[in-house]
Amino acid sequence: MAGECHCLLGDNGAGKSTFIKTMSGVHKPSYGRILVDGKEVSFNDPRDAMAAGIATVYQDLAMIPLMSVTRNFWMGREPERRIGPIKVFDHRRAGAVTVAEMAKMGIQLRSADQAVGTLSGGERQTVAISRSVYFGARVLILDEPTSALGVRQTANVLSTIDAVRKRASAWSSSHIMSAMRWPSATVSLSSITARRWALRSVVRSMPNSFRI
Amino acid sequence: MSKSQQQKPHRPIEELILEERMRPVPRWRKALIRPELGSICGTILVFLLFATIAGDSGMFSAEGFINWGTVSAQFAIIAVGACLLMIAGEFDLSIGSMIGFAGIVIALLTVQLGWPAWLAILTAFAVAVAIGALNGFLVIRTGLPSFIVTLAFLFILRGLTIFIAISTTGKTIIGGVREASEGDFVASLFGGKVLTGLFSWLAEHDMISTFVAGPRAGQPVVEGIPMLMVWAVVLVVLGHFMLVRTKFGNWIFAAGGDAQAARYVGVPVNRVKILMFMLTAFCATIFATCQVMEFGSAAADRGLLKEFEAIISVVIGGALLTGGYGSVIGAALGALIFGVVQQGLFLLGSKALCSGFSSALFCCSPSFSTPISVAASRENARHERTSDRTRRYRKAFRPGDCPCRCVALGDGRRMPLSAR
Repeated sequence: MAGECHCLLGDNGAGKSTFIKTMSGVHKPSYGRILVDGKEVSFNDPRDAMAAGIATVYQDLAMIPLMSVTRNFWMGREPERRIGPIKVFDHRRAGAVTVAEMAKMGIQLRSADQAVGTLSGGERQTVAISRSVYFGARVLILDEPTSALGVRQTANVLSTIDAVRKRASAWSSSHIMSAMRWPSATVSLSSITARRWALRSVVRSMPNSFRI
Repeated sequence: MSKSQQQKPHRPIEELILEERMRPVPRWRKALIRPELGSICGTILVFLLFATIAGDSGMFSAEGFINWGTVSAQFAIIAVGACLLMIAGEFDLSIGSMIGFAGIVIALLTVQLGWPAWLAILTAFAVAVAIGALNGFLVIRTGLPSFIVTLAFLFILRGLTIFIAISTTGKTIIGGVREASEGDFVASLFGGKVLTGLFSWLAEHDMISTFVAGPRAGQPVVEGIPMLMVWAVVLVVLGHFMLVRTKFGNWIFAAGGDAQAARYVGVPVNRVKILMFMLTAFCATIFATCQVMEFGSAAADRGLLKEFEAIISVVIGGALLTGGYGSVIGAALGALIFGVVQQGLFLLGSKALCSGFSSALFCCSPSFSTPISVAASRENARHERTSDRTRRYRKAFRPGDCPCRCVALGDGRRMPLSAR
C-alpha cells in the first residue's frame, strides 16, 4: 500500500539481503509464495520484478559516476525524438523531467548534465530512488541505504524515503539500529505504520508468504 | 533609520547552501571537464609549433596537407572504432592484424580467384565483422579480459594471414589489385579521389602547385581529396552523433561505466559490447580496403602495431582506458595530433629530433602513457599468473621483436618479410 514504510532489521547474516533479493527477483524462494495484488507471482530476473512495480536500489550499484544525472536517470529507458528517419535521444525533455523529479525529492540540480560523481552519496541514492518511482515503482526496496553515509547524508536519504512514501511503499533494510530508529521516529510522528523485525529470531521465523 | 534595519536579515543555512549549489559554473570550468579539452589544446599547440619551426618546409601547402592529412585520416578511421569500444569498456588488440587479414582477403579474391572487386570487398567486410563478433562473443562468454582474448586474435589473424598468403601464392605480397578492380564502383569508393574538379580549377588559377615537367606537366600535384579522408570524416561524424545523441550512445557509456549497474536497469550490455567489437573490425576493414586500393597490393605484414596507434589516438583524445568516458571528436583530434607530429618530424629530418623539440615531446609523452602503463602493469600482474607454457607460446609468436623485419612462425623458424 502506498504510504507504508517497513524496516527490515537484523544482525549480520540474519538474511536481510537474501530476503530483499528474493523480493526483487534475484533469488527464487525455495518455498513460500510472493503475492502482488493478491495474485501469486514468480520472478525470473530483476526485470520481471521491475515490471511488476517492485524496484530495488542497491547501495553501491545504483549510479555511474562519470555520466550525467540525466543520462543515469534515463539509462535503459531513454526518451526518443524523431528527426526525419532517425531517432535521437531527446536531451531537452529528459533533462527537464530529471530536474523536475529531483526537485520533488527536495534536491535542486544546477543543471541536468551535471555528473553524478559531483553529487554526494545520499544525493546519488536520491537519483536512484526518484528514477525508480518515476518509472512506476509501487514498492521500493532500499538495501542498506545508509550504511556508507555520514550523519547528514543519512538524514537526507531518510527524508527522501519520507517523500517517496506518499507515492509508493518503501522497504528498507539496515543492521544499524540507530540509523533505522531515526525514520521510525519520523514515521510515528507522521502516524504511518511501521513494522519492525528487530530480532534475528524474528527474521528467521518471518512468514513465508507476505502480502504486498 | 534604526541600526537593526540596516543589518542584513539572517538567512537560514539551507537557503545559503542552495544558493551555493545553484550558482552557475563559469563556462571555462565547464569546458575543463570535457574529454576533448586536452586534445583541442594539443592540436593548437602542435600546429603552432610546426608553423613556427617547419613553416617553410612545405608542410602547410596542398601536398603537405594531403601528406599528414592522409596519415591522420588513417589513424582516425581505426581510432573511431577503438574509441567507441574503449568507452564500452573493452579493448581490441587485433585491429592491426585485422587490417592485414582483410587486405589479403580482398587481394586473394580479386587477383587469385578473379572475383569482381565489389564482391571481394563485401566478403572481406563480412568475414572481418564476423571475426569481430567472435571476439566479442568470446569476451562475454568466457569472462576473460578483452585484452587477453584479442591478444590471442592478434597472433591468430597474423598467422592466418601469412599462412593463406604463402600457401596460395608463395609470397606475402599480392599485387595487381588495381588492375583487377579497374572501373569497379565499390572499389572507387575506397581508392578514388573526390573534388578533383576543384583542384584542377585551383591549379589553373595558380593557387596550388602543378607538375612542371614529365608526362603530367601542367596537372596539379594534388589531384583531389583521397576517399580515405572522406571515410575518416564520415566515421567521426557518425560515431560522434551515435555516441552523444542517441539512445544507443547512452548504452555505450553505461556498458563501460558500470556494466552491472547498467544490467540492473535493463541495458543489453552484452549486445552493446559485441556490436562495438564488430564496429572496430569494420573500421579496420575500411582502413585495409582504402590501403589496398591505394597501393594496388596487399601484404601480410600490413597494419603492424596499428592497434597500438589507434589506442594512443584514443587516449590522447581524453578517453579513459577503464571505459565509460571519452569522445569520438577527441579521438579524431588525437589522431590528427599523432599524424601531424609523425609527418612533421619526418619532414624536419633528424636535426630537429636533436633540438629542444624532442625534449618537449618527451615531456608530453608521460601524460599520455601513464594510463597505458597502468593497464600494462595490471596486464603484467595477470601475466605472472599464466602458465609457463602459455608464456613461451606467446614469446615465440611475438612479432616485431626481430630487427631484420622477420615474422616468427609457430615452430620457432623466422620468416623474412619484404619491406612494406
